Amino acid sequence: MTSSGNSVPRRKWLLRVLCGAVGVTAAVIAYPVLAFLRPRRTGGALGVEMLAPYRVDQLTLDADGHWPAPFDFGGKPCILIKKTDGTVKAFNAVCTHLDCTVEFRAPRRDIFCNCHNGVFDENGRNVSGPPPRPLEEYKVTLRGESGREEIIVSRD
Amino acid sequence: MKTPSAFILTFVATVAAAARLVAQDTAEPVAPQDSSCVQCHGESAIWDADKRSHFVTEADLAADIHWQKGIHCHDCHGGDPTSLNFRGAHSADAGYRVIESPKDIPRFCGHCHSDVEYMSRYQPSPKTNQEAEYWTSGHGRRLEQSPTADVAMCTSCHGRHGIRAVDDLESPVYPTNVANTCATCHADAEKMAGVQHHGRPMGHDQFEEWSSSVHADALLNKGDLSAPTCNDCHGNHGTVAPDPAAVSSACASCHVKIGTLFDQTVMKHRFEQANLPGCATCHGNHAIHHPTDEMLGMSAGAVCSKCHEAGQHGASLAGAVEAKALRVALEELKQQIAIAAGKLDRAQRMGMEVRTARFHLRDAQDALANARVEIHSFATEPVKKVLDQGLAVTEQVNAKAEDAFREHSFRRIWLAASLVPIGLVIVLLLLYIRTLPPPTVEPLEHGSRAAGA
Amino acid sequence: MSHATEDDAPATGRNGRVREFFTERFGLGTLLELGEKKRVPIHRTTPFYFLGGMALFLVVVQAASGVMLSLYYKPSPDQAFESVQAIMTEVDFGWLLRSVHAWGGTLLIAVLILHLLTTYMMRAYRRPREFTWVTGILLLGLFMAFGFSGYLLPWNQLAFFATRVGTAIVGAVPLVGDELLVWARGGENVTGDTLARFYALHVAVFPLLAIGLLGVHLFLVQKHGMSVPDAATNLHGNRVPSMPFVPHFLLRDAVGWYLALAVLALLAAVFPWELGEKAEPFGSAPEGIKPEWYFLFMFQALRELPAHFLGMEGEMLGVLFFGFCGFVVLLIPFLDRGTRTRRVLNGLAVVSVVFVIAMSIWGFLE
Repeated sequence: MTSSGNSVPRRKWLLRVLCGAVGVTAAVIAYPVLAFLRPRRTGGALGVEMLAPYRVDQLTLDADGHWPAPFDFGGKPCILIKKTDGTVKAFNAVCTHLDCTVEFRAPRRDIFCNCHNGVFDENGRNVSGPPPRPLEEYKVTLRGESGREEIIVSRD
Repeated sequence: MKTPSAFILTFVATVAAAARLVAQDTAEPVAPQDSSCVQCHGESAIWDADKRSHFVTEADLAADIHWQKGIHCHDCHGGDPTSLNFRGAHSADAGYRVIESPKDIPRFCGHCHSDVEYMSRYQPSPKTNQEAEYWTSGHGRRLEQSPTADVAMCTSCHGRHGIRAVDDLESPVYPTNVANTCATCHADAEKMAGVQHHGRPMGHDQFEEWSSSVHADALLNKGDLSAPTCNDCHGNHGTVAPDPAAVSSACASCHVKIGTLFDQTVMKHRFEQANLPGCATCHGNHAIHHPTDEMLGMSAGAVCSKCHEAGQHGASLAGAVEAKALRVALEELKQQIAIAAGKLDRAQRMGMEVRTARFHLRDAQDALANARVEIHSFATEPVKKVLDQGLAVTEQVNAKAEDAFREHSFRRIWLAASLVPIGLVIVLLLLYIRTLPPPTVEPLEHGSRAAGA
Repeated sequence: MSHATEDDAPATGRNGRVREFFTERFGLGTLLELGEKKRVPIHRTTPFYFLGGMALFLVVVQAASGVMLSLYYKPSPDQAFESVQAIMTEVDFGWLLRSVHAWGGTLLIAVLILHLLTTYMMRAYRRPREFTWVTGILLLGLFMAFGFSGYLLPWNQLAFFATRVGTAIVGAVPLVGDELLVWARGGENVTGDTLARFYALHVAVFPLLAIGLLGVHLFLVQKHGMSVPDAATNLHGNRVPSMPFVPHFLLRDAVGWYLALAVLALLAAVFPWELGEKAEPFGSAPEGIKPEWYFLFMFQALRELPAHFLGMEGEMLGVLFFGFCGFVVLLIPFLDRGTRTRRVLNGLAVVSVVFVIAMSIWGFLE
């Protein structure tokens, strides 16, 4: 098998191909590793803190008269409201009565549950109808240029 | 003394009272507990069976909201609390208010409770129309006609001496207790025998029916005090069975959106014409169970078919067709939601990202709930609009689920494919090894002591 | 020759210059010499030598994947499960790293057990290699502890209750059992303190111990060289054929590594590791709670013991018995004194292996 005549160049060639193949496997391993190490954009998975999909200036009624829809905050719908004095508040949009999703009625400055006419005020307190408890409130931090701030919602 | 027993009564009471008074320092004013009323009325031995109602225990008084507020025997009953003499204590001159029959009681209570100025001493903005309301009620009207009728009046529900505040958990009129209080008469076959309502027997099954309802479950099992019990639909004091036309207003006091939708329908008009009781026509009046989708449509268990099958009360064939179509559309969304949820479950079990999709699916479930509300407009268009929104969501969710499956397959294929370069390396290594010069036989430099033992 | 010279360098000049650069500064001369001089005996059971290298390869894989996972994992009860979920669903290739780390642990223990059995069969523990064996057994125990502590970290139902059961067994040790239990759990019950404790052990304490023990183990292997089994010495006497470590054995070792990698990739692809459900400490234990497969035999055996035996608690006896067995295994090099003792040990080994396999299968089927 090993006639020294053509075994050495064969060996060298084999070695080169081998190194190439090893390089390929190294790349196949390196690619996922590097992709893994790159930080990810979303942080809302844990429901602990996330950047809301709306900025402060986007918290208005749209052309159809709809307020921005609730977004996913750790698996629960979260609504953002703007109080009369302009303060932004974030609440768990699940009604404390029978778990329907509440909506913010901007003209009336209240939060309304369609199912059994539960009404919460702009501080989340249950003021009328069946709901037995106020809405769960989340902490809001504003960041960025005034008037167009980003809204960061966090559990505490 | 009219009877020997009355004589004995007075004698014993006087001796007992005198004994008590002698034991005290008579210079002190008479404390309520030691007023002459209690001397007699607090002695259990005196009162035999037919006069048992005159026996008042200290426990009763301690629990009574009036007693706690400092309102004592003579404040309600009048009379002279310092007199040990039967006649003196109960004299009309001393303001003693006689209760000759049950009919006297509403006025007796109303003496204070209808007096705004008096009640304002205990509550700002008091309600003082209870008595007036009562006389308009079914109970009140009967009592008006026959003063000794065995019908509900103030003390039947609120009690006589141990009257608790309404927000006291043990009060017979605390929301969770109301139904039981009403049932003491209204679930009693004997008492209800012969009682008529609009020409038909009233019956005694309302409590049983209500107890099986979704409202009873919410109130008693889930602790939802906003859920309706008897008085929420029938009224507190002006208790009546609502007119058929007024039923939907009663329901709409909580189910506002549905009420508004229903008000604008032809159905409401037809129901009124036929003297059908609005919402209760389909949902029942007391045994209101959780509505099911089976109620909609023209199949056997559906409520629509009750009229639309035979064309009763002006029910049209077109309506029947619409009912069927609505049911089919509803079932379709339900099915799509189930399919989408099933796909998400599968994806999740595989370890794929499904949370955003699941959150999105909520919108479809919301749409389903909204559609069930919209049905009360009894028109296909608004319902279909809502259902279509739901279907759009399920379509998107299904697409996301399919993406997840594709990603999963891709991962497996990719991973299995990575075996190719690995296998290639192994093959190449083996080939390369074969090209190496064969090993020589050499004594081991170290480790030869391994051959020991 | 005491230091490497140009003559020893391979043909290409650039390599040689690089070598000399590092040799001059780091004194790598002796290491390189060692590498070049080291030889590996060739005989029928030579392939078994690969197992040690494969185990080392898997240890490196575990360390690397573990470090990467630790960049995203959060060791607190209200974040552990969610962070693992995030790794599996949000981080690019997080699912891959997680499956590799989970399967890698299992594969490592499997390879270590094979390594143990083959070294036992080849009697590689004989003088002067007794402490190679001792450190090896300690390493096996350490890696099983790695597995046990790591198992809790995802904080899912299975992990939580398996840990609860597993740590409860510690309490069966006589005299110090209760104290040991509290130490192991970081409290009376399995809580966030347990999680923190296990995490610290898994990422800091055990790795340091592993580095130390492995260092000694590998040093001893280099010092004493590869042992030769009786069969080979009987055949060849003192002139056992051997091959140079570099490149002959090393390349074969590399095949072993790549094989291990292939098996790992296959397992991770075809049987991805499940996320499970988040642990509910106050709920009831789900059905079919089992520890990892390498603890199954102990778990099943302890379950089947009678509650009381000869006036003592059955579980305590079981724990003591296994402890005793472990101690015996540790001392095998000193117990093997001749053909007779060897036969006894062989008999015990066969019985033990059969017992372990049977109990494991039984425990799995329960």
